[in-house]
Amino acid sequence: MAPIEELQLLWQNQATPTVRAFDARPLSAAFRKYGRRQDIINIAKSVLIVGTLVSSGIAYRHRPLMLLSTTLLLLTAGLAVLAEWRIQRGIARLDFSAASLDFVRESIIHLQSQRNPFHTREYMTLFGGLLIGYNLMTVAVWNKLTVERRIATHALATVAPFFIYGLGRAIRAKRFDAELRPLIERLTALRDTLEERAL
Amino acid sequence: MNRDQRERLFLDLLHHNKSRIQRLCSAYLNSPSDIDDLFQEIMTNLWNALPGFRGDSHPNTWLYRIAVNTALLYRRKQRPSSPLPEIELRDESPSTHQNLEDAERLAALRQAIAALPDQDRLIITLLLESLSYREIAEITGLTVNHVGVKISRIKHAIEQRMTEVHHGAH
Repeated sequence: MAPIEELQLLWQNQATPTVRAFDARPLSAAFRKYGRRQDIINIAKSVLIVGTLVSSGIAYRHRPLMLLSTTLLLLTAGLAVLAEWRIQRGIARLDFSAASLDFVRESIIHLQSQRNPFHTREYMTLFGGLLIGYNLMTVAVWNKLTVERRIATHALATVAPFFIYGLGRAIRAKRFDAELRPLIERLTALRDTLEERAL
Repeated sequence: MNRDQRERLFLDLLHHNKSRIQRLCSAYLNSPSDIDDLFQEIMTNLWNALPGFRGDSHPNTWLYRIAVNTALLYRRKQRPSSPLPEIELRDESPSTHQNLEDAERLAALRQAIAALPDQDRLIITLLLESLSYREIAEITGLTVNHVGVKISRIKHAIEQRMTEVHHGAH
């Protein structure tokens, strides 16, 4: 047998296998899967909102202020769900079959912005809806409460939206890590490969 | 490690080791699409593992360890009990630097490597990349002595197989 040094030379001087163009199908499939999961979640949220809207319409049909407050809460929540759904559909439709470096970079930034989307108009509206809705509910039961309970209920109705905001951020961070971070990691690897090829 | 450092190290490792990693993938798998998939997976794992790199070992050795582990896992996921594929020369025409005889010997070497068990295949690939026994031991998690014994056996197996291929070809 030839000395190992000869084989090493032979091995190391062989023509390097050509890595073909990046296969975008698995990556695009991962994004479609993400989209399908979000569809299911958003359909469930929508059904819940519509169901609550109908049931509160029946329950509060003789209490206009309660009806107004719950409708305001649910409509602003519905608006936020729809806005979120639209963004998620956009993410799921991202096509990497002919992805340029800029497109991949922009996609990463777009995905990263989903970590905290709560400063958008829709979420601000939801926050306002929660604040006004809960306080309207307080007003609806105002006459039945003692002064102390009025103060406590009003304080609770004002603090509740902030608490919900904090809870929403925590849940979002967990969902972001589970759903979007793996996609960002894959896009980052793709971006690095494209950058390396561009060198 | 901040993002810039991570990117710099990634590109640096890729720049210096791309051909070696590609050769390792090609020694390990036959189909070009599998080779590409494995290469992409190694790059993804490398990127994900970079924040955990503490510099305890040489970056190239560390990269090889990721590549070897990814390759072993890839093969296990792919076809746990299927026979090893026959390696074929992808480029039939010898390059300007390789005469016909070299191309034949390389084909025989690749066939000999293809006939080895998974771990032995990785060990001989690392040896062919001129890594020392100590480095191979560090990458594979074996002791240096064990690596020495294995390499001795692998060399013998390759010698036999190359002779058979050589005689079969003539």
